Amino acid sequence: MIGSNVKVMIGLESHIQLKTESKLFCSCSTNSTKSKPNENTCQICLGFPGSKPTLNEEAVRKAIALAKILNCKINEYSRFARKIYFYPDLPKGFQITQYDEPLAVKGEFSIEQNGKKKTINITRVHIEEDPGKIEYIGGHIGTAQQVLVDYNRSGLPLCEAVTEPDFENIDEAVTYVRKLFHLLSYLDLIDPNQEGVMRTDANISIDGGERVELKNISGSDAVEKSLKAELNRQMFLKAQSKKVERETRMYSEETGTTILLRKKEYEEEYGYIREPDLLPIIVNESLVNEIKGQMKKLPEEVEHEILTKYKLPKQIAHQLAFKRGLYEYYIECAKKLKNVDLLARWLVGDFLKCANWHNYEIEHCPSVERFLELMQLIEKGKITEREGKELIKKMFDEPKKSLKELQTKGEIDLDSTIKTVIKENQKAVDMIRSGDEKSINFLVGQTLRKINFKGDPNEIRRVIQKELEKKSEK
Amino acid sequence: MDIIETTEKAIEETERIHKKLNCFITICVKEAKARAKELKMSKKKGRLFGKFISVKDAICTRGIRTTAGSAILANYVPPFNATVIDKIEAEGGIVIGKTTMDDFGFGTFCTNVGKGLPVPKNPHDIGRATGGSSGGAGAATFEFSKDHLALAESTGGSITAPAAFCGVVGVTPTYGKVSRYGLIDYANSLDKIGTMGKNVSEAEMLSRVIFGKDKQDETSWTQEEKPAKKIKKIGVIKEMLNGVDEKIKKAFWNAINKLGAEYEEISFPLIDYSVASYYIIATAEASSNLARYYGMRYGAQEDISGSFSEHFASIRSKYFSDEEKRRIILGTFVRTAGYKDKYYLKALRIREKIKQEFALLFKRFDSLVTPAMPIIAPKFDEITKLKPIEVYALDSCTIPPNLAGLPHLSIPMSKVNNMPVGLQIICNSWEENMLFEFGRQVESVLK
Repeated sequence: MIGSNVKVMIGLESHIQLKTESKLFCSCSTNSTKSKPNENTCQICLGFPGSKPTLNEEAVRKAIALAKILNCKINEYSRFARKIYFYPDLPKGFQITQYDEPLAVKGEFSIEQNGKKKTINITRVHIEEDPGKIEYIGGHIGTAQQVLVDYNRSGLPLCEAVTEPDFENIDEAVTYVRKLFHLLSYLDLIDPNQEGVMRTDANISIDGGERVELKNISGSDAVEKSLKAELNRQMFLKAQSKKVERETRMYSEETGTTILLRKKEYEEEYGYIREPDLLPIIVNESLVNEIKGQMKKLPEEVEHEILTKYKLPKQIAHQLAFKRGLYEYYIECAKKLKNVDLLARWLVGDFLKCANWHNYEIEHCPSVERFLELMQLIEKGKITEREGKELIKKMFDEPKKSLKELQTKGEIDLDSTIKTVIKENQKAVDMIRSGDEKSINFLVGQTLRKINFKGDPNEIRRVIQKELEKKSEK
Repeated sequence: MDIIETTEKAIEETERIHKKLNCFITICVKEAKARAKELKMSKKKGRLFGKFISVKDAICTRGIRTTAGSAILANYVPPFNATVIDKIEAEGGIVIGKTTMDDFGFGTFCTNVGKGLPVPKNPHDIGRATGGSSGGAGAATFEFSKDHLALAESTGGSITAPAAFCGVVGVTPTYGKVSRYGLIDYANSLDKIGTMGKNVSEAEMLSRVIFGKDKQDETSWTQEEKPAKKIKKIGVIKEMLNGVDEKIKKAFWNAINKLGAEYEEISFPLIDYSVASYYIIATAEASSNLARYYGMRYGAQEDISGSFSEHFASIRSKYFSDEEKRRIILGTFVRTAGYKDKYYLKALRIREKIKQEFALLFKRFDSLVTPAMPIIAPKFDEITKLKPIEVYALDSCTIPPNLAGLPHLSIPMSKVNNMPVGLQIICNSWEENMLFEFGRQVESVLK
């Protein structure tokens, strides 16, 4: 692999959108999925003269929980600051963030890669407001014909988590982002389906080169792609004995490379001052304990509980614990189904596969009653495992149909399926008629595929032959 | 006369006063009449029923143009009311007009007004300035015959200066005593909405309406007030008399002697750093507050041309005045890396020290008194000859209590060269009860 014998240093700054009802400093809704641009705005998040921010306590509580996940020390006293710069997405001409007095510092987060554990040091966690969103119409930042701003995002509550440059390869960085994202969704601190819920800036350097900052990478796959592209660029420069300069760059999906945003000759200058409209955040130990007490269990804690209570195999316990809500679902089912091994195997097997394929949270999956109905059929041997697998897929696809309806559908449809296959494959029909009998196998195969291989091939062959005879008689 | 008739009379008077003294940016003819009709129908008569309130133009009024005295907001109409406006209306007060001011409060004379906006004239001599930045409020308060009260605002002396120059009473409450929600920011950690009236009781009446915590302003607060006790001992800070005109000094000592209270002259050397520290903190915050005015969502607009940076630079160059630009540059400089420790952070530390010193003094004294301004209202042609730094130095009496967030008021104490001069009374934080009581005491003695 490129770079395997070169020392790489990566540090990450993740901007995480906390899941709250209202924005950080006003009562506007954070949910803009069904809103028109600029609909969820008010004088505060648009920065109208005379408006003042007031802090949303829910956001602070979630930020404290997030800092606890990163094992940070929560500062008893922290403060907001103004980061002052001009950009069209920034209504007030400054962003309210935290500067020299952040919410939390000095954390540790452990990641595991190929069975090897490693601790990543966390520098700080702070709270800040999101700017608006810029839409480039007819091009990208350099070429767009029009630039529009949507302030629905302005003032959404963000937590910025900054790591030390402790990652020694790209895989470690990606593992960190994936694990953090999973934990935050698991504990309900973020909405994993929200667009741009976790945006990362990455600093990467190789031996002898300056560090390059990659801006605004959305999601974990993109972290991997952009870091790979940037590492390639730096290695290529090194191979040519050229220097890697201090720059800010951005990954371009179009070219698959990183592009230059600006040279960094100086430290960025934001002229921070204290935010005079907001009071300091004061966090005492009892508040931290209260928040910790209300936090849901971590996956490893859940796994431990499963292992001691249900004596399931470790691999299955791990999977049951990993998906948020799956263990609770399992407990509900286990109240009514004796064969817990069978239950667990199916849950982490086909059930989880379907849920992930649909990108469903557990609450969007078939109900416990519905799933148990199916499990009982399997347990009593009334349907085969293969039929069970098919049925579970259908339960996810057609949530309104009863199990009975789902079961019978296939049998009724065989005749019409064969008619469709014949209609769609006129070429094969012609070949059969001209004497090529093997072509009938093709039609049988097509039919089987349509009914998910849930029929007897000989029976199908018979029906096809009959149907073809009928047609030729006409 | 019913409220509709008195309102019509008040509008006529406002127009007459404006014609003479140029002190209104907007006269709310239509809105005041509409409010009068509503009030006539309503059974509830509030504490301000029958009173007409002029409002400094930095305070947002829904549907009524609010300029903050700046050309960049010359046509801005806010979609919401400041909390103080809601409170005044709930008590039956009628907003009669918006008074002129230095742009964003950046001035001591009310001559730094945005292009096209009125410069007010002093009611005692129209060749002289009213003082600023709440200059329109000062002139209007003196000139109205009756039933008028003014909402003003002070960051570093913007209530005391025009109150002294125009010969009215000006109240600046404890920082946080009045909600700033809807006040267009100059320097958020220093801005205080206050009042003006012809006498202490009038100014107190309006002040009591607007006092109190507001959930829309985190820095606002309600602190239970102790009952006022009789003023026994007052302090005079020597350093605050430096640079005061000799005739004013004489008037000041005369007034002190008339009071009959025990007084002591004390030294407060740190006070000499207050003007510098004030201008650093105020401009640092102001330069960030003014960052939002770049012609995108409100305020001055122009056809978009060039890049974003070119566009916002051209709007800001065209509409900001010299004083606005001066304070943006100064404020940006003092918070820039490399200078920040030397200026901004040091100024914050000095402010804390000065607050602590004042707290100690209030253990020994019931009140501190100073002349309100070191000079009488200057003539307009004198002002043009002053350098900015000389103007800033004239705030030496008003800045210390403003920097420390202490409640203070200015009362006319005598006349020098036929122009009014004021006495400034400073009390401990949250002791407005005491401030008003002492104010009334002084008023009765000096009459």
